[in-house]
Amino acid sequence: MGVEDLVGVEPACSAPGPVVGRADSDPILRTEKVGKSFGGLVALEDASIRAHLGEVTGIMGPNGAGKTTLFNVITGNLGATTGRVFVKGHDASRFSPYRIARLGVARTFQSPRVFPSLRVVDNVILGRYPLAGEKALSALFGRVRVAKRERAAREEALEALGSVGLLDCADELACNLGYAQRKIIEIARGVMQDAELFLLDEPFSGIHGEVVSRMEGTICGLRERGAAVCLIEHNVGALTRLADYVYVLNEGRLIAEGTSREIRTNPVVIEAYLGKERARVLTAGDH
Amino acid sequence: MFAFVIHTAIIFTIFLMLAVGCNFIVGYGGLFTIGHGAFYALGAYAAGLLSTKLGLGFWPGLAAGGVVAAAVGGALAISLSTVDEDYFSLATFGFGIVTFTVLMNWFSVTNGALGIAGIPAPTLFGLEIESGVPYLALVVVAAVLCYGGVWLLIRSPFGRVLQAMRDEAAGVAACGRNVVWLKSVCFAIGSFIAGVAGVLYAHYATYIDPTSFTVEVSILSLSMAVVGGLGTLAGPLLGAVVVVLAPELLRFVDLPAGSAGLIRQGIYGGLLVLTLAIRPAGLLGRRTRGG
Repeated sequence: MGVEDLVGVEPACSAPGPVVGRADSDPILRTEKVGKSFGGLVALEDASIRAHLGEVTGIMGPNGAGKTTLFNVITGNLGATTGRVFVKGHDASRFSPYRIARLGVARTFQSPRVFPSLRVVDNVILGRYPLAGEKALSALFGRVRVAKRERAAREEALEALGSVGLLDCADELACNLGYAQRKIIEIARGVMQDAELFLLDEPFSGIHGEVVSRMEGTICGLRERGAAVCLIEHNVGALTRLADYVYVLNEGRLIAEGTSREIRTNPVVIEAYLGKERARVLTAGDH
Repeated sequence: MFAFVIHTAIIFTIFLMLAVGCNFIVGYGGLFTIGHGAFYALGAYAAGLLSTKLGLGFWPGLAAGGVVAAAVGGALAISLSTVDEDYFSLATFGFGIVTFTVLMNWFSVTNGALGIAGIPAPTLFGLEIESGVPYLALVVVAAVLCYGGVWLLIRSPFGRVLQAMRDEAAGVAACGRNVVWLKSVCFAIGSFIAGVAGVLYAHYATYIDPTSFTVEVSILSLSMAVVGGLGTLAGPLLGAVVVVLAPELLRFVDLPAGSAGLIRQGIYGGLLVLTLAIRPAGLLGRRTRGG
């Protein structure tokens, strides 16, 4: 990473409103001192974050900082060792992943979890819950009603695909799509889910060129729809351009939080990323 | 010769039902069971006991056999919700062996190795469905209904979420589906079909003992599903043709007595290994993974 990543980046979203009243408004997601240990290894400790509707919240940190662990704790894929997770005011600390999802939380994975043997449009339809015809009995005996609902769901899925620019491969099998497109399918699934909170785990890893700006556009689109977006990224440039508010994790602990601008110039952050020596040079130049 | 053909057709159709249920669980649900024979046994014993001890008719017994197998299968899947893949297979394999052992040793109920004799032939509107062509018709109707049911399920939104779970269970959970419940329903449906097959077998054979329900049945079911092509609708049919009928041809070859059974087992194993080596997705399998 170069110095240019840390200074002077323009915000990506068209209306990067200042973060107002974070302390006052109710966050859609709040973690309270969550920690996770695997045996003797502490992966995450005392992490308290908040995410608000209409904002992009960035979670930044070097590899192994505990970012994905934090996501896994929030989505119930891992049980927290300590602390609590609140989604929309519900204590969701002990919820399993499917119950978290039903609260309106969509999640993407570092390596996308799409369903390769299904068509893209079916991948997206599955974002919706509940769907008519998913109970075995109604699948056998309520076929007319199911078919009607199914058509409506398909229309909506196509709309969601259109909103992320994947409409032309709707009827392809997902296994024929590339890595970047799979990442976008996951987001479309969240749109179909009507999710209010999107947890995106490194949406920019492994994608290049034109796709990057499309991904940025997609994320800004979610924010403009009024959803809360939580974004894991270790690329500081991409993250600070998108995020309204940033948390920085290092070695399982939160070492800094603040607006993108504050984070970019925070000596603690620069030190965690670039080492002490470079950090002193940089911050000295700033003042 | 004619009687032999009809007998083979009946056994073939019953095994086809095992293949259909096993393919539903393994091919569509992605739950690699090696204990399918246990549910066949449960169906057969439920029907055998209900008809000989309680004098229950064939039709209630048919429903009961299916329901018992489904209930036990669903419960087994829930109890195994924390183990995955290889461990799941091992646990179902173990369940098959335990079931056999229980049938062998719970003498007061199952009559142990002596088995249950005198299971009556089924009746329809007061008429006995005789062994032979009428029974073949009954079995074929049952198989067609099961096959049709699976076909409807697979093409429905339920089938879609099942296949999604097979592809990527974590992704399905992230979409708000209760994976434990889904696995249980999937396992119960496949087991139901095995249970029904077991009932049909019991009333056909009129005598059952544990030796008809060894681990070999589970392996046979799995072989049919794998050879035909997991997760394909026609796969079980083709798999059953290859796996069940091919060894029958051995009857026409002059083999020393006693070695036919061993050769038959060798053929199952050989077919399984050959399929996995040459066409891992089965004879009809599509290649959807990779890339």
